[in-house]
Amino acid sequence: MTINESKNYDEVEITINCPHIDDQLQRVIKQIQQMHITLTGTRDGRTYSLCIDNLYYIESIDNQTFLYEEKDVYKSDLKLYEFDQLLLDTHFIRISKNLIVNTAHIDNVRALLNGKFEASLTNNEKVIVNRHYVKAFKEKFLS
Amino acid sequence: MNLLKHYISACCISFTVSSLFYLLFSMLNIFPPMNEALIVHMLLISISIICLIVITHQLPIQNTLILRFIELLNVIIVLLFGGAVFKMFPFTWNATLAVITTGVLTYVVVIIVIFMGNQKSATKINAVIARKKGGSSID
Repeated sequence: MTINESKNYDEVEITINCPHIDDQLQRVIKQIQQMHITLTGTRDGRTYSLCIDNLYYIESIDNQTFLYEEKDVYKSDLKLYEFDQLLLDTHFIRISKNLIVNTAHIDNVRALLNGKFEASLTNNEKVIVNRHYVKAFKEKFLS
Repeated sequence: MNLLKHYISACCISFTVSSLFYLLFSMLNIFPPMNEALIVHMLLISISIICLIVITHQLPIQNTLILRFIELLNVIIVLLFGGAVFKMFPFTWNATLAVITTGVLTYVVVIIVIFMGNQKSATKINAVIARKKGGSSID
């Protein structure tokens, strides 16, 4: 790995030279892409800049979007479909009509008899993967 | 495409299981003996049931119990309707009860087989998660 630190550079530039992109490199690229996405959320009348790595899931309730960190909840002006586009090719995946989860914070999953999956998060919360999204959810981990 | 495969798999399982149940009931002299035409009719019924279930899945039903009930209703209605159209069995109480039993048992078997497939996927996903946690991956 080569890091060039100099006052001559105006901004951070990342260049990857490789013969081909393998799974491991793909994950590194995803991680870098994810680091460059910053979101803002409001809580108690204040606006916060949020690191998406710390987000567990994004939920839409009654046309309002909420961002969930381990303990705090923020409100966002963006709609869920806008997050869908913004978080494309990151760890995030839509698992139901009103919820996008950060797969990096999933601790384990279990199949339910009704064809859905239950994902337990590292903060001990549980979210449900609806049947319509099960295939994409499986592929996120297994492909 | 994957969803299509899922429905085709469900159709294949239901066709196989319902054929076995039909064979069982025909051996017990409740249904007429099995023949080529009957097998084709059973396949058409299986396809019709899956088509109806696909349509049901497009409805905005959130409650799983209601959805399961409607799915089961789809199975029984198509079985009885198909049975009448193709004259597959005599409409006596015994035969009708056997048809409904066949439908319910087939439905339960399909649900269990799909659940087992999902359980297998869940185990694989958990292995991937464990590997990421334990390994040096930054993911």
